[in-house]
Amino acid sequence: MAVDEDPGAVRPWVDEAQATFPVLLDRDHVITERYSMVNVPTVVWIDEDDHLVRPNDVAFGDDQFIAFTGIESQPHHEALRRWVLDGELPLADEDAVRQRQMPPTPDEQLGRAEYRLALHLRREGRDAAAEGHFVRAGELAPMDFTIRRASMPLRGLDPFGEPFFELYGEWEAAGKPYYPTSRDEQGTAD
Amino acid sequence: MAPFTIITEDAVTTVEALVDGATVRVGVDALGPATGWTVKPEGLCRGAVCIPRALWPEVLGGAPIDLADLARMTGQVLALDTDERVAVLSPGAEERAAAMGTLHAPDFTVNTIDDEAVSLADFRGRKKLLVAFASW
Repeated sequence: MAVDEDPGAVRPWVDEAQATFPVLLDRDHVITERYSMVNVPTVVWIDEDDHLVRPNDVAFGDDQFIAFTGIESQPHHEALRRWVLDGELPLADEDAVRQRQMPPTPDEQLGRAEYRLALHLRREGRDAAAEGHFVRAGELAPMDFTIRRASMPLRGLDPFGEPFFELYGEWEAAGKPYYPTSRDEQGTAD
Repeated sequence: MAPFTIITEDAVTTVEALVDGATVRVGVDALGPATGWTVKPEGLCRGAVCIPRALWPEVLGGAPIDLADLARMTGQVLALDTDERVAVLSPGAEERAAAMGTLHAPDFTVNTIDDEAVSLADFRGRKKLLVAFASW
């Protein structure tokens, strides 16, 4: 799923990948909110009965950014294959799954509501009003990249330029908060 | 009373509302279609869940309801722009945390980049890998 407003911004990636799976456009951040996603990439493993087997985690398709992220792509691929082909669960039990979840704070939820308001106003052509709510959303949820960074292209800011470097600096200074990751377990059960 | 847009995770609706400073009040009859919460004799209800009238007697007396009161009563968050006449009601942190703790993957229905509706429920009986990415 693309956490994006404009299908045109997403399509080149989908075409290049020759995706055979459905690519959703989460314009209203419905899935983003419902799954409490705070950045991309986010991966979630869901079983046949719609149970969460592996909650929000960060995993990459390849190693092109490994110098930046420090995260190898191979362990997740291998763990995923073991689950799909052999049914091997990545986490020992339900408590292990819950320990890796990050419930949102009231401010973070309000930030998402402010963001949704900003999206609506922008779509209605009320850019000045939208800007105030994009800013407010970012104040309420400063470490949520689906708010801070996702809004940059919608506000005429470069998500790969100075505004992003500033955000990254804030994030680093805050201790790089992200999903509690199980990558140190390399996909094996506890 | 003038048109006011209310946005929830389910719908974008326009209702008549009274705006007084930072307060937005919606008539009891308009509440259901706009927010999914209906005032019934038992109280404020959505599906099988009812918040007893006795808990909020002054709010559920029949007068138009303040959206901030509605949000408080139902554990939602409210984002408001009274100048632009738009409000967003979203799940509150407790509701989201409680849902998260069930370890059930929440259903959703969202369009693909080719505008086809897809639901998580469409893939019942199969393992799913949900991958979020972005152009940013």
